[in-house]
Amino acid sequence: MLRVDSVQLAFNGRKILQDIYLDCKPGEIVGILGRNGCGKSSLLKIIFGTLNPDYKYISIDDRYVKKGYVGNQIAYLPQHHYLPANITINKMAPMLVDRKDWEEFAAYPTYQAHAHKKPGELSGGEIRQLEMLMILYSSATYILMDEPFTHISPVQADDFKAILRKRVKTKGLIVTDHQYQNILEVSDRIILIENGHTKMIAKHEELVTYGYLSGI
Amino acid sequence: MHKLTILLLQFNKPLWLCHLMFSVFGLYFVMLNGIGLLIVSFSLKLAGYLGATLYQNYFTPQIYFYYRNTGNPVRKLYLYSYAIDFLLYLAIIAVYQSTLTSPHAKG
Repeated sequence: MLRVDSVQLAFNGRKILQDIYLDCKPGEIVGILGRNGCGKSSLLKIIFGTLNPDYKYISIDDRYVKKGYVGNQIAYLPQHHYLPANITINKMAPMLVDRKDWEEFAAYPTYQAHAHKKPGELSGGEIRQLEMLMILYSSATYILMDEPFTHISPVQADDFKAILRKRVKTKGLIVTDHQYQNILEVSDRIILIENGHTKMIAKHEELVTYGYLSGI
Repeated sequence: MHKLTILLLQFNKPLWLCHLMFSVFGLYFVMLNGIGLLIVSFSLKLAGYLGATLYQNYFTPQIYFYYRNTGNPVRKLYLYSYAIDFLLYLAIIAVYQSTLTSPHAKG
């Protein structure tokens, strides 16, 4: 189980995160919601190991983790494109995708259509699809996804949710996005970040109570 | 190991021209001033590494997530690629020096 506890983060004296607890185990999707600037992306970067907070305790199966990405324990889909523009997709995909899942990954039409192209030759949506697939088929047990639904069409979002459900059988996924309906639909559990604190959401109506939504 | 080799090649793709350029500068400096000033040519190479790192940090920091998602710290990839380039540079200098001091070279 991935456990994130006691995260404290401040920028210029302003406390962004101060009372954070969340956990995730393989087989579940945890959705994180929160207003702009509440620290969702920062929290994912802290878990991945690329942002150093004032304090954190992150463990996987009760073993302390300093940097989540080292040794492929945790993979991360950032908000922006992350693939180098000058290398073909078929040279990068084997570096990210787990060997035992390669055939399933390589069967996706998106990969077959663009395998010999460089990211610079693809549209933003096509790159995003490939980046998401490569992360979901990586060997990491825990996957963090920052705004995966933002730059894709509703049809692509539906396809993507089906892939998420397929991949979650062996992985723990933490997903955040402003398209809250997609997050509510796909997540097993919802956590709201409010004033730097995490709040476990048992019923969707609580999102209204906490002022995240005006109504459902 | 095979995977790390490919990653290092990919990581160096935008950097190799910069490495080559500073190696040529360094070699030219040694040719002009003699092997006694070799240490100064090392500082040229170090300036090249600093420039390449700053360039990537400023213009394409987002690609670091690709390398991190392969399980490798970016610092490790920089260290390995610069170490390999520096060894190659030393090898070029050694070849140049041995050519210069060989009896055939003196004609």
